[in-house]
Amino acid sequence: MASPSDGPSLIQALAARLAVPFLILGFMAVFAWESRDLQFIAAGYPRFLMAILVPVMLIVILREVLAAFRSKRDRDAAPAMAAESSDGAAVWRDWIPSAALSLWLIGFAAVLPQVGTLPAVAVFIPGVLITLGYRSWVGIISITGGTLLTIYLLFIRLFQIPLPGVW
Amino acid sequence: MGTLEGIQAGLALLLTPTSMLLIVAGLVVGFIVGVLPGFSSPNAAAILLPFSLAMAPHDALILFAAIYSGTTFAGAVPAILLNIPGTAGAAATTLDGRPMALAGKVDLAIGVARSASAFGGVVGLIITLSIIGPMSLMALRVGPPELFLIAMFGLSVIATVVGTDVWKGLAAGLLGMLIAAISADPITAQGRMTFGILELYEDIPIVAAVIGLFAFNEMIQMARRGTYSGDKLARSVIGDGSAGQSSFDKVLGWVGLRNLPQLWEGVVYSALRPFQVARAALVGVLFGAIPGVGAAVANFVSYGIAKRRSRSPETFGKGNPDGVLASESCDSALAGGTMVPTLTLGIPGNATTAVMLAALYLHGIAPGPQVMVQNAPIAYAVLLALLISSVLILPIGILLAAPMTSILAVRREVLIPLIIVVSIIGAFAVRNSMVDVMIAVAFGFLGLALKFGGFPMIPVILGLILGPMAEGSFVRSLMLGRYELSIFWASPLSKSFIAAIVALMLFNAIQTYLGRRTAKP
Repeated sequence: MASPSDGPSLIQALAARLAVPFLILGFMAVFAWESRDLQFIAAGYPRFLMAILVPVMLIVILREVLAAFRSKRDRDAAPAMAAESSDGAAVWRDWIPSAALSLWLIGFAAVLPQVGTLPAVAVFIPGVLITLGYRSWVGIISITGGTLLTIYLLFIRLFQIPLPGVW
Repeated sequence: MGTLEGIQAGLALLLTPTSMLLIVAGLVVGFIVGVLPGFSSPNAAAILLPFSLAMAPHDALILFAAIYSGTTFAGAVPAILLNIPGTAGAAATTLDGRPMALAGKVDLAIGVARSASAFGGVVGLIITLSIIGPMSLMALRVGPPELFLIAMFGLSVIATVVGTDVWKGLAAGLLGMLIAAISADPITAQGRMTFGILELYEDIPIVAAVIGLFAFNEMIQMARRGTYSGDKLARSVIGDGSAGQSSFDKVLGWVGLRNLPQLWEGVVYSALRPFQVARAALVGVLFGAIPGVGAAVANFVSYGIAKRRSRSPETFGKGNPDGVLASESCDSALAGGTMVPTLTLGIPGNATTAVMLAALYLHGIAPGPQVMVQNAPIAYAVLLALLISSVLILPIGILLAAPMTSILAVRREVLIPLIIVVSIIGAFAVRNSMVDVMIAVAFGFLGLALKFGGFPMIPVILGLILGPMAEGSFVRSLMLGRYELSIFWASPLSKSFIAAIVALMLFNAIQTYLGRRTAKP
């Protein structure tokens, strides 16, 4: 039975390698479906691009599959090295702050039009600072205050950008 | 327009108080971002891109040129002090810069780096100015089929030289072009993949795409644990440096005049070696003119040449100032070299020039060979701005040396939310649209996915920029040729571009095959 230190299984390795190529193919499929009823002149150029992109993606996928098999074969040949080099759980733990920041980013962009720029920023900056491990309250308050002041003076008053929720 | 006329017209645009102030501001911004590892000129230019819309096109490009120049130069400071290259181009500087710093010759190393950067930049720009005029003559022979082939050639070049996998590079470029096709068709005005969203009937906003790919993506990656340790290192260095000093010494240290004689010695050292500076600058221009090769490669080549030609090659890597000189002169000259394909063909030499192409596009100037014909004064103004920036680097760089290092002490937790907020405001400000903010966020995640999958990002940006131009020229060519594809290989110039694309692919295939054979045990 495979132990966790053996590294990812072949299926896991393939899934990781092929996720992005299939994402691109999926985007292409949606594009092709969406433009199915268009006149030839309108859909011709995207179809021309897709006609080149499909074989290129197939080559990419083929190479990824071969690379996954080759990597598995090398790991099988030198299991000690594989155990040293792969600590998947630690790698994923490193990415937790990035995942949290991504959620903050999506949330910030989503609520911005509803609650307005300044309240959204007033929540976003301390939220991200705390999420990333910044613990000085004086720092958090001064950074948030400074940013709000800069946005108000520079972007709202000086550049007169009609930011959401600002009149 | 001839070179001398071009220079004259460029100077007329450049020698205004606004432009000169923008150069100084750009240099300062460049210095700030250049010292932050992982954050460089394309990121800074991407964040400032929307705000540049309020400027005249030449002013916006002058600002970006100065940022580029400042960043290039600033990368040497953390390379010497902390052994962390602020930019990829400063990687070779660490080889001798750091040993010099450890041997107590920090200011000598910084003096050599500053002056070599300044002299190398000037020499590189003089070489660039002398070759760009003749190269632009090609633009006069370009019609729609050639324009389409130039776009495909640019994509092929970028795909083959950026990243490690040519197929992924090509796929990324084509993906960029396909994303650029999300808009109303230019002839029938039918919406393509717009989902009824009004904003998508126009071209994909380049600003949002660039902000997403370069700013959001970078911040999400920077948030990852252990990716950015400059703050702690800098605090330790700055802390050590100030211990036991008098207030006067601290002030002198803060303005970068801690050891003026050593700094001056460094300046004189470079000034007395014009041949070495010129040789490194030539390498920089040549490598810069090849899109996507990258500053790191050029600098290591320049370093290698300097080492081979040296009378004492054994001292390289142990604190030889010639190593710093070769790396820094080459790095600065490279900025000029990257402008050659950017301005004459519309093919960006690197990520910063890709953002500059986006700026051209935003200001209504179609990137491509016609830039040097229809907007020659702007093109020459950009080159001259780089030249003036190279000259100003010396005094401004000396004054800002120590504050630049203190920037490294800013914690990444503080930088990340601030940059995200400014980027979101920037993405919104171009069309006052939340859809653009959503597009920027989407591109941020697209960039992250591409990074995970090992796909390079520069081809995506190039595809987005060249997409509308390629589509326009593709459709016009078909109409001109009565829907016969033979129009694409009718002229000698078209044939040479097709031959160049095929040769490029063949060369890459052979190189990959040979590389695999030599890699086998």
